[in-house]
Amino acid sequence: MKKLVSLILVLTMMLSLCAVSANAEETKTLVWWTITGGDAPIDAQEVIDAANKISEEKIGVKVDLQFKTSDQLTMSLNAGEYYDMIFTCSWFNNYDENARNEYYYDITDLLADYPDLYNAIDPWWQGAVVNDRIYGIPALKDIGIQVFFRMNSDYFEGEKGMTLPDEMSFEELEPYLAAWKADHPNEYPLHLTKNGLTGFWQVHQRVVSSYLVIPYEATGEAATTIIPIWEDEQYMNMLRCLHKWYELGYINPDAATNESLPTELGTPVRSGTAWTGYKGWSNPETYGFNVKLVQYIGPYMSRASMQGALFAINAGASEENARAALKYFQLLYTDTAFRDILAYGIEGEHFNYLSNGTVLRTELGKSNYNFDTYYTGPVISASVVSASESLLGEPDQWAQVYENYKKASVSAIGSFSYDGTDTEDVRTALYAIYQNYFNELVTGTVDPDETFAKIAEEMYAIGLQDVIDDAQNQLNEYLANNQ
Amino acid sequence: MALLKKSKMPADSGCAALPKPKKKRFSLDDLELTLLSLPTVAWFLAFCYVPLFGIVFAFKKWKMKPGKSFLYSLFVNSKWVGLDNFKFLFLNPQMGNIIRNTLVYNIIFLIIGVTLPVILAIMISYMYSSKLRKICQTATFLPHFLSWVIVSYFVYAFLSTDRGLINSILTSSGGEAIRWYQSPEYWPAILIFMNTWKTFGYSMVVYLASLTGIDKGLYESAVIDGATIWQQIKGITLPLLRPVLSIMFILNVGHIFTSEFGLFYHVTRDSGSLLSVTQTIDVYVYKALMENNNYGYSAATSLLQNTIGCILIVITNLVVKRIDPESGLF
Repeated sequence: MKKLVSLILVLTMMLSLCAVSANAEETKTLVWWTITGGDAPIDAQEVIDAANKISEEKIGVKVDLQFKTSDQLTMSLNAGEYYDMIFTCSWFNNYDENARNEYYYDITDLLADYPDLYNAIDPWWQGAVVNDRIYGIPALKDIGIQVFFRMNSDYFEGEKGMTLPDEMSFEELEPYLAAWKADHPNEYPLHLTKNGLTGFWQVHQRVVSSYLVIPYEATGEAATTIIPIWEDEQYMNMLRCLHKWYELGYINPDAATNESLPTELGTPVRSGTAWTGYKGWSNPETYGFNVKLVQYIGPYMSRASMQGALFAINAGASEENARAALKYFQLLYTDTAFRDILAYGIEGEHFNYLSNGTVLRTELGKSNYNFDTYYTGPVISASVVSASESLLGEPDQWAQVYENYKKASVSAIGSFSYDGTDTEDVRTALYAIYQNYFNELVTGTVDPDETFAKIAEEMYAIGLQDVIDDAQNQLNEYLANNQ
Repeated sequence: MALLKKSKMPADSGCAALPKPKKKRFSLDDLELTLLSLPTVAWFLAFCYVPLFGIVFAFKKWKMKPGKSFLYSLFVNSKWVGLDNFKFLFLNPQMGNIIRNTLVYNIIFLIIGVTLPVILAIMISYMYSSKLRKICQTATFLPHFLSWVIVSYFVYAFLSTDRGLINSILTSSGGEAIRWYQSPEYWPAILIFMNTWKTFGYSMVVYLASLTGIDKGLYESAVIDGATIWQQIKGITLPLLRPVLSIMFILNVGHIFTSEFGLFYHVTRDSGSLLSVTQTIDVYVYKALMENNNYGYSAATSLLQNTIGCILIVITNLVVKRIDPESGLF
């Protein structure tokens, strides 16, 4: 028995030695975790192999790209599993918090050796700065906030002869909803899920969790004063509208418990965060009608919006690996043909280039290698996608979008981020309270004024003011240091 | 092989063992039994006892150290914080209500869970048609295999405000539609009904099994003595079921501070209006920790729940043994 056990042990050791020696060759293989909404794309391995062949030849780096759901990714990170590069952002796997905890590699000094990478991102590095150091590589995509109504233009403009402007206020949506409801008394023009209209909260920037905010439209002293969400009048007015529309029957009555919004419903008004010129929702073959985007929020810019997608390097990785990762990102930023592989798959199989240089996914590409472009790197260095042969994307779309950002109102608090270590227990309890009412508020199910009165009472009772004070003090200190 | 050897054994070991009883050697019998128990022992060791060290999570502020192992992060890199992790539980002003919900529902479930299945098991055992008996048994057992998430969709099909079955019936017969997921007054009844529907089939099978174990001769002699069915149940069935009954009861008491998360979170579709009657400890903890994955807080909560559950099991067991010394669990 003992002999058998020792034999097995020896064999395992030999095997692992083999694995190590295979790694020690000249080519570096980096373990790269990125996110996925569900399963990994079916053809992922095939595409990664194709990309590896090129990157190995050009810079001597290969990647072992692993798609993980948000839960899997945070769990693997916290359990201390090994990775070299990781997806991180403001909306999950929190970049600021992990950088502050020094989970990520401080790349500030290394960047000087990768000028092409540095210049490709400049002047947007500020989104990655924590305590004056850089811990992540921004994957540039749309970095401002623009929220649109996605409206059925066949119906509103064609059938009813109404005009859809490029921009409108939230309240101005009402006549459109009324017109639809009059024609379809048993349907709901504003069909919502329990999370409300996608992106509609972005009239303020969240400073602490989702309930302490600073409105973008605030000016003067208010632009640096942290307030509870119910003191943001613009947001409250939107909630009041929603409640009114709920009572009028424009919103589905079970919205607060509804989990899905299938395309087949043909909802005439949807909402989404995008950028001027975005074509992803415009294909009539997918939605059954032509869609026109009407902007109702933005453009705004804040730290969170600049942190839509970043990639960080493991603080436990060797300097050699960190450099390999930077080299790899430099390639992703500077070589469009290479970037397109990880973004869209293999040319001729998953996508084809159209005459104007944009990308059209094939049927195979749509089903087997299709996800948001930023999952695998920067979006601005990849080719632009066209919705169909006739619905072409603009090849220089990103230049236009970034030009547009010059007009954006930029948050006055710069790259401040709240360090909530001291208030974690209170914040946990506060979050649970806010969460209790959240779904019914954002779907218009309850009266926002009455409900927020209740929430405020409960939240102040367990120490909301302490959190506000703590955050405001940190902010004031930050502003004093960065003038 | 083992069997062959075993058949030889009694002759050898029987003679050898008798004169020198003190020298106990590891016999082939012991080896077989050890081997038989090995999978179970290994399972319990690997999944129940080894992970127990994770309890220290409840007293630590978890901080990962990049490039170091999980154990290093936990024991060296994470700071001891004493009882700080328990604090957030008591910060919530609704905690009294949450504890009340957890306890009251569990006590009701406990009472129904012990009485109803026994009554139904006895009734089914008296059923004349064995085919019908099998059908009943299977039908009541079936919900046990459904996950609460699936059940929540069934319930939604009945209770959805605009497309639900019940509201369709109500409105077509001239009544007003009810916004079920915004009306807390109905939910205690709905939750108790759903839990009973899902669980009683399983416990019934346990009781049916011990019913079949009762010696039929007892009933025959009772019938000869002229006992009615009611007298038979009172005098034979119930007393003989008592050990099983008390074991099931003691085991369930241990869960009194933990609640069926699926029932209270998924079936109610996490509806905010219902929280005054549906929020239990597990639901609160889940929601509080959704935002920041604080492992210390969740470990602290489950440690608290399980400690209370464990203490309650011991106390109940003592009480049960005081009443009837043979019915205790340990």
